[in-house]
Amino acid sequence: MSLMSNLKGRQKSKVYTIEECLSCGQKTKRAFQSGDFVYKVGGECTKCKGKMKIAMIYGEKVEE
Amino acid sequence: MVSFELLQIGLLGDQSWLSLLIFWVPFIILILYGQRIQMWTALSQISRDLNKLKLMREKSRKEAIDFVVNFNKTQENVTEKIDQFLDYFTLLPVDLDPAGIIKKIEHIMNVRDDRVRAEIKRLIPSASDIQASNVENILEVATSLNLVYKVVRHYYLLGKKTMSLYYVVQLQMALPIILQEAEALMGAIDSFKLSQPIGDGIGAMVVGKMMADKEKKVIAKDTVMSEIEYKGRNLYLIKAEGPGGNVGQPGNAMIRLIEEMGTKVDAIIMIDAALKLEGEKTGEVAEGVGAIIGGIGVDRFKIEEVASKHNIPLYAIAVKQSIIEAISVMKKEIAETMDRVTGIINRIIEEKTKEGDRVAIVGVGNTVGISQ
Repeated sequence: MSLMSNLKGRQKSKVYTIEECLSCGQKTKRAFQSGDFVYKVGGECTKCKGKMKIAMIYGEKVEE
Repeated sequence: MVSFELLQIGLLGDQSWLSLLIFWVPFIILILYGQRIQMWTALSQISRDLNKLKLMREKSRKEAIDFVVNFNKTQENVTEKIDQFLDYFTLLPVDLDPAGIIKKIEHIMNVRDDRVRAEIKRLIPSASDIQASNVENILEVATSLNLVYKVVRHYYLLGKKTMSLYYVVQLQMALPIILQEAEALMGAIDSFKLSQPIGDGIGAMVVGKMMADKEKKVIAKDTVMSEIEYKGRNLYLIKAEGPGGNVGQPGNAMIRLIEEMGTKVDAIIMIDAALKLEGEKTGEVAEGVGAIIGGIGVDRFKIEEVASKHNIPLYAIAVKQSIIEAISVMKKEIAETMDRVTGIINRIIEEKTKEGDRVAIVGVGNTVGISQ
């Protein structure tokens, strides 16, 4: 059990989705959601209501 | 000085029982049983590492079963089928006469891929192509971990049975690297389950950005191509079809573009993830020449063959990362190299080609979680 928790501990990273507005270029960073993929056009820009495109998805290490 | 005094106690001084116990008994034990003690400590270390590998194997097997059951909503036959997959093997062709071996390897790999895909479709008929390719990747990871565990266990038991120190220490020396690679494989499961981009996909991500909003056509199995114009040059952008977990067939794509479609290509630029050496930073970008592509070697051979036959220069761009980073969810440092790599591509095009030239740009890597 302790071995498995060690394994889990090493893999801890939080995955973020970076979206970019196709109209005003505003970038937003949010937690990754199932169904996200890079270059998917979907969400709505909070600033100009334009279409958002996923520019990047990446993981960042979480400090424990 | 101290050791000299001890010797004096042992040889010339009072032969007390205490000095005998403190110095001579351990000394004799180590002379007689030193190798055996080393063997025991090595075996116990290997046994601990083997347990870690066993846990990883069990976890990956469970993940694969759960993922498939999630589609099927029934466990019937799934466990049995997955267990069959885990022991599935591929025999590479005999290489005593290596002439023409690439064709044979390609044939066997195609048979393997087709069979695995057909089995997955039968197991989860409702899955889309993207989901099916993700299941294929998860099963590949679980199969690799199963094989690693079995091979390590084989040498451990062989060493124990023969009591051969040489078997045991060789395994003990190799285990840290084996464990590191096994942990990397474990990290890949989550990425494939959730369809998240992995570090290896950076080449596909760079070219995918250039292809976005452009017309795409399938140029080889699981491989797409777009044509764009850049400063008077025609660019042929090639990558595996995403966002499912594919690596495509860039070798066949290049042959189709150059030989079957008769396109006169003046330069080939390839972008891929490359393993960094210890001490190098993740996300370092390096330039070179040659066909930068991993795998079993079929695609690399084909690209080198077609490039040398038509005298086309091959330029390579590598994004450095470790083996763990290459198959785990893409790190920020790797994702953020996109603009730098695009800048290098543009510079190579401007410096090495002239207006009217045709340039093929190949984004190599697994395209899981990356569309185009």
